[in-house]
Order: sequence, then C-alpha cells, then structure tokens
Amino acid sequence: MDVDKVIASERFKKCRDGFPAELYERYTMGRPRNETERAAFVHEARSRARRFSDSDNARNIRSIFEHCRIEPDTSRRYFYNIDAFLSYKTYERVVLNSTPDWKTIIERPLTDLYVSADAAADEAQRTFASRNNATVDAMLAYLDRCIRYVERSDFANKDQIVVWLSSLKTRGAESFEEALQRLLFVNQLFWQTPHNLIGLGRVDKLLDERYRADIESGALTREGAREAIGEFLRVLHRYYWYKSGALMGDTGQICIVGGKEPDGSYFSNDLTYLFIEVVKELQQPDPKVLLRVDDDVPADLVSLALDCIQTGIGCPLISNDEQVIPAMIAFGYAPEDSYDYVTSSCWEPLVAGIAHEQNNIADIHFLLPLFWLSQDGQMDEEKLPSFDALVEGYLQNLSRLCGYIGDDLDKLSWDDDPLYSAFTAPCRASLTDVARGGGAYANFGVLSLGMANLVNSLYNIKRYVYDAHRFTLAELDGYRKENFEGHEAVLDLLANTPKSFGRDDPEVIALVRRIMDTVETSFSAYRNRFGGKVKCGLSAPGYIMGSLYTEASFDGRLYGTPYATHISCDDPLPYTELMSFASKLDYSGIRFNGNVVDFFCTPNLMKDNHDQFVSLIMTSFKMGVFQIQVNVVSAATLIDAKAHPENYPGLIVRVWGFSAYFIDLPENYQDDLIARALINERAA
Amino acid sequence: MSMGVLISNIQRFSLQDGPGIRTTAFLMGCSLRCPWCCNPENLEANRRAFVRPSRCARTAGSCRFNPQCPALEEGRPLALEDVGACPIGAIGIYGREYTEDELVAAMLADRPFYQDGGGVTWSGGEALLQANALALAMARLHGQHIDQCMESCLVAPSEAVSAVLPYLDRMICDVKLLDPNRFATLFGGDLDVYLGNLRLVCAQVPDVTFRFPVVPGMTDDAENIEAIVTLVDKLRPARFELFGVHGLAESKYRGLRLPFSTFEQVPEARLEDIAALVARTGVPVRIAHL
Repeated sequence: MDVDKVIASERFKKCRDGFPAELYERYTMGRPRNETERAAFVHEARSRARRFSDSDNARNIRSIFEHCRIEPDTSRRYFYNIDAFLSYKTYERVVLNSTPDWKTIIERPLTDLYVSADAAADEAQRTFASRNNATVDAMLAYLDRCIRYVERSDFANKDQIVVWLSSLKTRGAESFEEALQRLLFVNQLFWQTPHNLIGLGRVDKLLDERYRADIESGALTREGAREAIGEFLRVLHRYYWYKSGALMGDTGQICIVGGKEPDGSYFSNDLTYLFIEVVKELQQPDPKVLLRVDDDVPADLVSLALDCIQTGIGCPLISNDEQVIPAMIAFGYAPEDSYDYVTSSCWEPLVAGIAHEQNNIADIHFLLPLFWLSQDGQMDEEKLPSFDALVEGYLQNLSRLCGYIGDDLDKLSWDDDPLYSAFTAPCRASLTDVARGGGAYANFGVLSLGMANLVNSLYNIKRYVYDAHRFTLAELDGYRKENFEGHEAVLDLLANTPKSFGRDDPEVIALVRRIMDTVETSFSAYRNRFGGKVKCGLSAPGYIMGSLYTEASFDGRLYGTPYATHISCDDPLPYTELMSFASKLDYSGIRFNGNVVDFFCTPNLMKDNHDQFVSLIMTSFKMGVFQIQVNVVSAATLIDAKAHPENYPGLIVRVWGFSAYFIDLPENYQDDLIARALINERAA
Repeated sequence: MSMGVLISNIQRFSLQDGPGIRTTAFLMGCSLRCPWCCNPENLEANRRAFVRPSRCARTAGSCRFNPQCPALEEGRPLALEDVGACPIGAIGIYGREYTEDELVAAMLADRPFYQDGGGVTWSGGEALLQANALALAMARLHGQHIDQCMESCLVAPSEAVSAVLPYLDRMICDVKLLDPNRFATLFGGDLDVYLGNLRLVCAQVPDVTFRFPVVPGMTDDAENIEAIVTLVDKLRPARFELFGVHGLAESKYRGLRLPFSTFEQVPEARLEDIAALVARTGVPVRIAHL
C-alpha cells in the first residue's frame, strides 16, 4: 500500500474542509495502515492547518499568499508550489469545474488584471475594484516571494526560472517553456485558493505560436518539447492527492487537444500528438487528455489516441466537434466561443475564461418520476391501461421533476470570488464579481442518473404487464417496493431480461428521444438570476453515489445498487450496436452537456484489432456519436487487483470522467468496474 | 414452401472472420461432425431448445422456481415446447428463420462500419447447405457492393458452391485432414467432394484463406501436416491461418445436453513450428487466437 498517498488524501481533506483527522479511517478504506506515518500526519495537520475566515475574500487571499510555505520540488524543471494546509472558509458555493483564460495569461502580464475604480457607478463596483486590485497586489507579492525563493534555491535552472517568473510582472511569455512555467504559476494560485477541478485548456493551441517560433529559431527541438511537456505534466501531478475531489483521481486537470476551426478545417499540430504521446508514456492517471475530433481528423491521430487508450489509462476521451459546436451555437454561444470550446473536468462543453458556467450542478434522477406514479397510487392498469398511458404519466411527472430542479437552482448562491473574477475579463470590464453575474455566460448544466435503468424498467413493464399479462402492474410494483424479497424468481426474470437501452431498436430510440424532448421542453423557459439557461446531457457521473439510497427498480436493480453509467448497456452488446444507438439520439437544443458512450474492452482485443477500433471510432463519430471513452482492462486483472492491491500500485482505470488508481477506489466502485468488465467479456 | 434461411445468431462487430469490421451470420446445419466443433448449436438444421447454464437455478437436482422443470432430468434433450417451463427464462431456443428481406436488413445494420474493408461473413454450421436460399440474399448484398466472405468446410454439392461463388469476395476454407479414410471416419465426409470444391474456390474467389485447426492427436501428425503443406504450395491461397482448438464451447454443449470432449491446449511453440513449415511455401501464415 502507498501510505503516502493515503495520508496525503487525508491531509487534503483536513485542510480543505476543516474536517477532523478521524476521516483518515474513511480514506484508508480498511487497508493496512502504518501507524507511525498516521501519527506523523495527524501531528503535522494539527500544527499547520489553518483556515482564514475574514468576511472579505480578498483579505483571505492575501493572508494565504503571505503565509503559505514555499516548498516546491526543486528537482524539477519548473517552479510549482501549493501549501496544502492553508485555505479560507467559504459560506456559499465556489465556482469550480472551470477553465481560466489561459490565452490571456500567456500573452499578458499579471499587472493587466488591475482595474480602475474611476468608471465605478456604485458602491458594489467600487468594492469590486478595490478587492480585485488587492487580489492582484497579493498575487504579485506572492510572485516576488516565489522569485526570491528560487534565487536562493537549488533548482538546476534557477536563473531561467527567475526570468520566466519575473516576466509575469511586465510582459507576455516569450518562449514555449516560459509559457509552460506561467501556466503552472497561475494554476497554483487557483489551487491554493478554494477552487478545484481546474481545466488546463486547449494546450496545443495555446502554446502553438511560441512552440513554432522556438522551433524555427532553433531554441527548441521536438524532443525538447516532449521533455518539457513531460515535466509540465509531472509537476501538475505532484499534488494529485490534494487536488482529488469526490474520489482520488477526480482532479479535473484536463488538457484539450485538436479541434475544428471556424473555417471548417481541422486544427492539430505537433503538440497535439506530443501531449498524447507523453501522457501515454507517463502512465499517470492525471492530468488527462481530451481529443476533439471532426470528420476531417487525421486517421493517424485517432490511431495514436487508440494506442494511448490501449494502455488502459482511460484517456483520451474523444469528443465530436461535428455534434458539439453546432449544438453550442444553436443554444446561444457565440460561434467563436463555440469553436474554441473546452470542457469541464469530464466532458461537458464550456467556454474558457469568460464564463460563470457550472456544468454539473444537478442531476435529473430519471427513475424518480416513475416512483412518484407508485407513490401517487397510479400503478394500476385501471389508471394506466396501456403502455402509452404509463409513458404519458411518467412524462408528466418528469416535467414536474424538471420544475423542481429549476426551483432548486434558483436557491443557489456563490461566495464572492476575487481571484476567479480577476482572471475573468467580463468581470473586470463590468466591475462585477463572478458570483454576482459578472461572467459572460452563466448556464447551468444538469446531468443524468439512471436513464438506462428507467428505459429498461419501462420495457420490462411493457413486456410482462401489458404484452404478456404475466403480472398486473400493481403486483409487479408491489414486488419492487418490497425490494423483491420473497419474489426472487421475479427479480431474476426482470434482471435477466435483455436490456433495451443501448439497442439499435427504433422503438427504444424513439422513447429515449421522447424523454429527452420532455426535459428540453420543461427547461425551455428557465432562466437563472444571471440570465443563464439550463443544458443537459446523458452523462451520469453519479451512477453510484446517486443510487445509494434509491429504491429497487423494474429492471431488476435492487435498493441502493449502482445504476448503469452514461450511454452504456448492461448486456454484452456489440460495440457497433451501441454506437448505432448512440448515433441516433438527439443532442440538439439543450442536450449537449456531455453525452459519452462508455465501453469496456480487453487489452488483447484492442491490441489485435487496432485498425478495426480506429475504424469503429471514426465511423461512429461520422454517424453522429457525441463522445466516447473506453476502459481497456480485463476482469481477471481487476479481480486480482482487488484481492492483492499490493501487486497493482500502478493499475489505472477510468471511473466516471477521470482516471484513477484502481486500488484507491472504494469497494463499491471496484465491484462495479469488475461487474462491467465481466459483462463485456461475456460478449467476446 | 418458404425460402427462409435458418440462422442461430447474427454477430455484429465480428473481427475474426475476414478483414475489417464484419457481421457474421451463423447458419444452422452442418455436413461434418468434427469432434472439436465450437458451434454445436449449428450442427442440426432445425431449431433447438437449450438451457443457459449461467441462468439456470437448478441446485442439487431441484429448482425452487419450478420443481417439475424438464431441464432437471439429466441428459434429457429439451423440446421446443419446454421453453415456457422456466419462469426465469433460462431455457432458450437456438434458431430463427429469416426471410430474405429480414436477412438483408440484419446484415446491413452495420453497413457504415464496413467502409474500411469490412463486410459480411456467412458461417455456420455449413452455410453451403442453405445455398439456394442464401444466394438470394447474397445477390442483393452484392448489388449493394457489400464485401462478402464465407467460412466453409466445403463438404457440399458443387452446385451449392457454384450458386454462391458469383457473390463472394473472399472465402475462408477449412483445411483439416487430407487422408480420405480418416476424413470419412472422423468427420463423416467425402474428401474428393471437398478437394473438388476447394479447387473451384481457389480458381474463382479473389481472396482465399486456408484455416487449419490444430487438434492434438487428430490433425497435427506429421503426415497430415506434410499433405497440407503440399496442398498449400499447389493451390496458393492468399494466406494460411492456424489455431489451437479451445474448450470455450463447453457451456454450449452442456446447454444442448450434448457430450463434450476436452482437448489438451496446443502449446504456442507447436503452432509456431507448424507455421514455419507452411511458411516455406511462401504463402503468408498467421497464428490466429480464435
């Protein structure tokens, strides 16, 4: 067991949320512990952890940057420092799961972030200006502290680092490596303050100009760039434990590469390939890569992405610009922003640096409206005489659910966020904090829970109640409500009936489309207080957490057991069938907030049939599939890793939208991955 | 009289039976009885009931869901009407007769994925036993420029071969035993019929693969391998594949209530030795892991 890793994750929790060290137990997940290390951790945490709690977050930021210890890894090529023990207290939500405006950060000095209070029209704007400028002061003072540290440090290239850091005060980055150091410096500012899931942006595009200039001048070679990118990614991975959120690995450090251009051409460059090549070599779960593709993506790039996926690290996730960009434009994003989209930490499209977008702020729990029919005494063939009537009743309740979600979204509020606002141009221009509507876009993204379980439930009811008359609706609902206790034959029958969701069946596809049409209609009039809209998608990161206290369903799923995840099938379907299904769903309107097809594959199958998998991926996207991610692993490996974690310290798997070390995962996540791998191998 | 095609399974995303991404149809009924057959559900040309062992709730000879279940009686072949006896659906049926339209539609479901050299493959059982009905669907697919492959043991009337040849882009031909007596006693087949068809196929199909199952004690003796090398040298197929037989079909045999023979695993080194012998002909050789 990697004791450091476990202790580190606890250290993170301790300082970020102020929880007592007892949470250590939870994070060790019952594995053997090193008591000496544990005692050392508790002692250090108690003596160092500090959370500032001034009512003015600009003062909290200043306190953090004044007090944080500077302890970078001086064996690396770049300076990067986070003091995991310092934080400040937040009372409301914090903007998270977003990507700063890295382009401006590369091109302009930090002093450009100052604003003038002269244009302030009211007290709120004057306060914003004052807090903004105090925050920039604090960042620059911290920058000076860091520079002084580097001057006296044993970094091998300390003179170079001092030049790179110093330029942040006066000018834009002038070289490829200076840009990398600059990204790292600002990145650490976000992580040092209570922001998380910080995206890394379109790295190949951001660095393109300086990369090409350095190559042309001879200051850099492709090999040199490869090493620099390796250092960049290693440095970002250093605080993996601190950056992980809900689960170890959920850091949101996502590099976006490739993409369709406004003139219709496909953008890729050396860096597109290099980032994937380096991620493939490093074999770290984080940072991860998302590859944007379109109909013109070069086959060798997809082939390289497959090579990387084949190693089992779960990335790149591949996103289809032919679907995403038109949907964003139709939704209301400016075309230039749509073409330049990045994603939240998993896959939800996002505009970097100017927005207050929260792409996974709520879930549509698709089974709830069905359970409400039961609670309202409707589960009876007199009241619901046909399958159509059942679906109609369901959709009415679904519409109600969407209304409730909208009501809940209206109750959310955000802490003033001087740091995020300082880096967000529309906030500076309007002298308005992002928490008060200063961002350019303020759309809220909702995700899905249990869509596949709902669809399979509806078709089981159709089959056994309305078509075969094997049970009455009331009988079947009664068994379900009792969690099928004493009705094991019924449970077995329901659970083993071929799943409908994921099948290339026009009737099933029409039903899914109808359900999502209802969601779209229900949210069409919604506007939040910033004027933003709701967008939704079929991705379902909460398939385990969201299912924990949910009653049994008609698909033979028992109380509290996991839902199916994303666009996948719990039957061993041929990949082409799942892709055909996914390609026929509707992702237009508000339905573009992440729609990932998720499948498992054994390492040998992909290795022996590489070209066919390239063809599968490229054809699927041409047919209209939205996004794809793949877990390449064998069930036998996972089963053995669960039993003997000490033999698998480096085994990486894809969880919902991130990669993680398998042995770090809670048991229910491990079991779910094993179950899905076994289902996949039944198909072989 | 209907001209349907009796099929046990249509497998999409099939990667083993020809290039690219393919859809493989497994036709029922076979002219041989190879002891190592991994598709026993396709031996007989009629629909058959079977038990899904992974689903069956039988424990210690009894079932809590249906104590009278016909599947409880060890070794008793199941009848089609037994399907309703299992309340949890553990008894199923192999076999569905596809009309020409249905078959064409099913084989075209993955058409967009065929573009990089993929297509459809007819396997079995022995697809040639339903050649007349099959040729109608094949002609239509040919008209739509779908790449078609057939995997066959070639023990069938030459008229059957002729009926499908115009539509085939490629063929995977079994090469098992080349001694006429052993061919007859082990498989129940006529070697001359096989060789006649093989020559016809090699002369007329653009891309022919020979596929050789290495079965210890049955097909791997020096004499047989020498005969195969001679045949390969003479007929010059596009490639030669060999594979060690496996026991993956055991659950199918159990489900069909058929006796199951086990075969010892063929060492990779043995496959490589045989591959080297065949490779001397200059024909490309591949060890397949089917």
